[in-house]
Amino acid sequence: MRIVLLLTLFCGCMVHAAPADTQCDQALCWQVQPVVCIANQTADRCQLDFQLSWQHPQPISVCAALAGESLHCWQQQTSGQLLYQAQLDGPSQLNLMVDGKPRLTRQLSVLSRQPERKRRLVAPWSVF
Amino acid sequence: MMLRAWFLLVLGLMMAQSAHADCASSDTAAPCVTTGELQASIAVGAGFRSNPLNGGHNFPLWLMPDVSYYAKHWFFDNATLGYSWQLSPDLQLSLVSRLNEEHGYFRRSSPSNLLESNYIADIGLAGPVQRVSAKEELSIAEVDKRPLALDGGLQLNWFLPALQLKFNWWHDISQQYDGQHLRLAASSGWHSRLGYWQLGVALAWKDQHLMDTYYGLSAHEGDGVEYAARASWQPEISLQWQYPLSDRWQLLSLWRYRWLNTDVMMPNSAERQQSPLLQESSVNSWFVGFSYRFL
Repeated sequence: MRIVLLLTLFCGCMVHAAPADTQCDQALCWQVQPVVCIANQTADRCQLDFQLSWQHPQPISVCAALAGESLHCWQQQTSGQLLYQAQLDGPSQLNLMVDGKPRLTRQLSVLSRQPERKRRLVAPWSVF
Repeated sequence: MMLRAWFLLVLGLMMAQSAHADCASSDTAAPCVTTGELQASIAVGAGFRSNPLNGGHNFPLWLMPDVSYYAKHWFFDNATLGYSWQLSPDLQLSLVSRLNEEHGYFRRSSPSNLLESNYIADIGLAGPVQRVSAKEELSIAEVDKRPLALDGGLQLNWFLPALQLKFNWWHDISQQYDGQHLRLAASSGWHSRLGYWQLGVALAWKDQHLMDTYYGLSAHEGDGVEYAARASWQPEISLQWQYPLSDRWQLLSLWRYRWLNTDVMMPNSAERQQSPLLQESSVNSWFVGFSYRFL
């Protein structure tokens, strides 16, 4: 009996679950992957190849913008896809714009494998 | 002769091939730091910095700290506080501030001289103690107290493949001597089977206000005769040797020789002489010991 209940719950979840990375604002939904860029060091510029796709039941005009800069626009379509190679200096906001206003927003993050190392500006043992 | 030797050394350093690496590799011996982490080392050993003043004690060096913390822009490095901008991958400009080191010769408990020990100085382990002052000379005990000044200024670091150049402009922001001084330093390091070596040369220029505040004599101090100090060019040469014993321990040896050129104008004449406050015209410093890296 308990197994049947668990199976029912599991199947229910499978049916109703949207993709984990889907974001919606009313009927406008989008997915962006990946959203994290891994750099060698914190000071390094990071190249992120991300994929964006959006859907809407009725034809709509939308634009994708990264850090305020327009990347691509779709005119009167129900869905769209974009592959983009971004050069990130740090965390940046990716927006899906409708009529010039952001409707959906994702943060693109930069993580580093190693902490930044820099040269010392004062000689070691300079108290000598 | 001395300036010519200094010039030749600079030339030699500029042509030297070195093993200086950039900071991308964490095991490089080049002076690098990890941002956001406190780095602290301490050296224990023997050495001293000579005091060129009449009646001054040499400064014993038996315990030396090396502490630095670098954020993205702010940094604290061995009593220098700064804010830096990276102008290019090899060029850094910084606003800097620190205590002026001139005061340290005049007062043994100066904050700018943290490494002294009265006990060691008194028993003479720190090298010869200059106690004698001739009649025509003045001991620091007989002159007025010299001020402790806080300097602020600009620093430009230029990291070349075989050479590091550093230029400093310092100005008295505490209005104690109302002057300024400049310093140009060049250093080059290289690895050998005997450890890591670093040879450095520097040339400092100290203006008349600074020199007169510390090395000139008022009429009151000079028995009615006033001695006005002149601006000074001060070359120096240094050599550093490090030999790693383990991840945290290393052998450390430091040596530096600085020429002072502390001339004062003779009263009622155009002739110059060394300031009556000085017994030596140079400062010699050395240290040999072990260093331990805490962090």
